[in-house]
Amino acid sequence: MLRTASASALSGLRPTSTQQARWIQLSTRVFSVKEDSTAAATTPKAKRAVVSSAPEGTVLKGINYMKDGKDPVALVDDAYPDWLWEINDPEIRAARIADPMDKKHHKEARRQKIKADNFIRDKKT
Amino acid sequence: MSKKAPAAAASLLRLVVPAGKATPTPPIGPALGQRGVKSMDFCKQFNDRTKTVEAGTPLPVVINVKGDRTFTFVTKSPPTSFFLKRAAGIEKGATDIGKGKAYVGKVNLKQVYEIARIKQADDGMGHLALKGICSAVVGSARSMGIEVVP
Repeated sequence: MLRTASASALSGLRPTSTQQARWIQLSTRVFSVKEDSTAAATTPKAKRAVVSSAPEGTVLKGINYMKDGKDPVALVDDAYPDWLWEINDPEIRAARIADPMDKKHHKEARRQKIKADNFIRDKKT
Repeated sequence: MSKKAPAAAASLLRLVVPAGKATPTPPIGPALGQRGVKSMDFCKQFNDRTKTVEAGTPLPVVINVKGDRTFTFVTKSPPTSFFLKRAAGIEKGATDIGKGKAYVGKVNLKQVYEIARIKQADDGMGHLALKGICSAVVGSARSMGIEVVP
């Protein structure tokens, strides 16, 4: 029963389950704000907080498994996509778990609840 | 090892075979023999196809045995754990993982990226975003006790 609702009407809600969060996501219409492209072009790339431990030119060992091939060589940090530096970031992960609109939050809540229930159940025996 | 049931009762066999070295009785022989396939035939074809791969590299193989005992097979890229162990320079993964337990190896994000690129070339992975595959590789590393550093 998907009703479209204005973003403001739903902004006060705190989803209590993944399903609810998803419903809210789907039913609020938001117009994405396109970043000013000229600004992005003129400002230099933000200094990356994470610097790779394999600087350009390091041979990435163990990747190649063909007889004729050679292990790939590391490129400059900037040559890799931005998301690569974020996938292992513990702060980003913690932020996602804290955010009630994120699936990770509800997954983690569910996990903890199951653990708690199991703990109680085991205690009884 | 799942079984499909179309008109000719084909069956699927999943095995991990070292490249260029096939036909040991224990893993392959009985598994194929049960389905009426001559293991020598498979081994010859497999070794032929994997000539270009470093000998001994474990390769997952999906063999489709048709009702009339002919077969086709597809080879995929080596298991992620194989890549991670090589990249970290270790022989075996951790026996025990968790908070407070030491890591057994280290791998950096650029290696993860390259591993993910190889994996993406597999048939079943074509629709997945590279970011998702990278996350999966990081997850595998975490469960093996390998630290992922930038």
